[in-house]
Amino acid sequence: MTYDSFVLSCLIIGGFEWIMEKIIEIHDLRTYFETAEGTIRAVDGVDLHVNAGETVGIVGESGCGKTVLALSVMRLIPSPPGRIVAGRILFDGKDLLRLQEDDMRRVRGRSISMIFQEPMTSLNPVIRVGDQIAETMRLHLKLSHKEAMERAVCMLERVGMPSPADRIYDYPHQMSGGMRQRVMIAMALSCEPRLMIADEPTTALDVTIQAQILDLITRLKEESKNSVLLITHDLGVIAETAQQVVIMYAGQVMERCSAQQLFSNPCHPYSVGLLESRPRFRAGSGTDGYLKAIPGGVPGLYDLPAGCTFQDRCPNVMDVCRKERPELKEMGDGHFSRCWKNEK
Amino acid sequence: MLEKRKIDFEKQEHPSNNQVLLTLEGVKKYFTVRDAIFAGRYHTVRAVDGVDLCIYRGETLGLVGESGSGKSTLGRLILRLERPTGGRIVFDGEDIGGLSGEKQSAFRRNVQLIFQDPYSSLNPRKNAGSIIGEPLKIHHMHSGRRDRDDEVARLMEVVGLRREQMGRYPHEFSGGQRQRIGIARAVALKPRLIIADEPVSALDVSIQAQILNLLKMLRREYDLTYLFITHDLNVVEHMSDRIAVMYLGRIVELAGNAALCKGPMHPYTEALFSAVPAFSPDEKRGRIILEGDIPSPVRPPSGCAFHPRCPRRMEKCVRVTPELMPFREGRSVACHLYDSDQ
Repeated sequence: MTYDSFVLSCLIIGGFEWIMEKIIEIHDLRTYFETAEGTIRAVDGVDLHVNAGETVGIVGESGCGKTVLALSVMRLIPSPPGRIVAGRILFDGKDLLRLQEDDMRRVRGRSISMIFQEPMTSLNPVIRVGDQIAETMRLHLKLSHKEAMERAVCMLERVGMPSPADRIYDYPHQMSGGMRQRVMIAMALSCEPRLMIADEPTTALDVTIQAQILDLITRLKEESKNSVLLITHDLGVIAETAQQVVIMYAGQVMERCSAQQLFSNPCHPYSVGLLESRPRFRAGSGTDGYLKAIPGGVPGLYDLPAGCTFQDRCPNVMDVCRKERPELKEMGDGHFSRCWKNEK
Repeated sequence: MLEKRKIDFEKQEHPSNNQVLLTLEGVKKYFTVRDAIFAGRYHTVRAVDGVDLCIYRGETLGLVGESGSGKSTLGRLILRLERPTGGRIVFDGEDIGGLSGEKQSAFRRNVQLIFQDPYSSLNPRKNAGSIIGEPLKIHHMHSGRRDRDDEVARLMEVVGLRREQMGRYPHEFSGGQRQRIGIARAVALKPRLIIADEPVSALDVSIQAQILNLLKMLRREYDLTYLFITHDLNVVEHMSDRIAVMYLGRIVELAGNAALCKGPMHPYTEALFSAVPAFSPDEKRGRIILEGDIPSPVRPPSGCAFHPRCPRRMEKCVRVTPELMPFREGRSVACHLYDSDQ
């Protein structure tokens, strides 16, 4: 028994029920990539947790480290060049980063599953979708081929696939993007995982199909009481589905709070900028109005400035921002922000 | 039939001036594709299936639809990158099908395209200066090296790049900056119509707003007309004067921006707009969840192409294809629900 799980069990025995609620806790996770040009700190000290039955949204632009974070949780970082240099990921009382590869394989797809952004490249094109869904269950639940196929049909029915008994014999290319994403979700949910990681599950889909898939993820989450870690760049998706939000920028958490808090009272200038730069549907703004854009672009991770990583794009930058990097501080009520202006 | 269509156009809602820049009359584009299994068999894909539309000078016409609705093909037809299977496209009083020589060259100057993907639409072996200067060179404008370089530098400053970046290559720029290069190239010849095909879809959220602002600013400075093709309804509402909604190669609804977004008439438009994610958690609203996917344009459904997914279908919808008919306040809608009102 490791020290962590010992502490955890003591706390559980001690009646601290709040800690039982946390499905997964990530502490100070750092994933670096060694390249010819230097070390890239793709994930640089991320802390977050997911409570049971909750959807936590991770928001950020490309290159902010959100996908690397998800892959680190699954321990799927290609190494070399990638390396998880520090941190703990507590799941079920165990530190996932210290598991043997064999034990980790029993977690992947069983207790934690993942839905990827591009359903075409994540499904095997030469295997029928029924067999692909059944494979997970045969491995983890030790079902026979026949039982697994029967359950695959049930799963496809649950995710709203029309005539599922016939579609299990289809190959991925015979399906549309939305249908393939349903297959991915059926596969991810087949072993009733406690945590599902969805990496931009609707980005490649049309808006009407996006609405179907988001509804499906929310409904299935409520039915099976699992938790979801939803990675997206779309704040509209967050508004629709998430209870908690983590805003990431250049590998670090900039703001962490409830979805309600983010939309009603954003604290970090980056979050404010993201919220204000969106065109508002049915606002009747006319066509003369300009959007409040965030100036500049996402900084390269090779040469991040000293001090705050957002300093060059921040509207209220101060001297201290250029010298020292702010810490993620609680502002009360579970609302965390990494900004010097909140210190005063 | 043609006579009737002309009357329809005049009734369409339009901005202050009513000078028509571009007219599409019954434009069709069918593609023939080989069967996936039987090599000898061919199918017809009706990518664009009878579109009547006009674009007024100085307006931004938003064209929305799901993937496979034919919106990009329509853009390519207007650019003359595809020949229509049927119908006519008239730009500034001339049928573009019959252009040649000097008139063709003038047409190519007047109509430009902004691409979706800023990564694949710039030649990686040319520096920013020669990418932006190339249209000037081809059309013999600003001949003379120095003159051209001055113009390129001016264009770069207009789109928010620095003169010193002229010698840099595309890979040295970020996605947003590359899109600025593409935009500078499109406006270099002072075109009258710009087709923007998903110009911000490949960009990060914080960069999208910058590019949308730039496009709006250019429209005012250069007196441009945009055909703004996108699947993002938030963006189209922000940019457009009028919006046309496409479904399986046809326009199902066309109306002024405010009218369309406040009260869509076609059941497809209604469902499409209700699928837009909420602006904040407090604004979650009832959704119309459409069942199934957009059907294949190889075998479009009989009657109204939307009837298999339509929550309000009637018996007539299965048999008769509704025409795009003018409605009150210059709106047009192709739906049998409004047959008696017209």
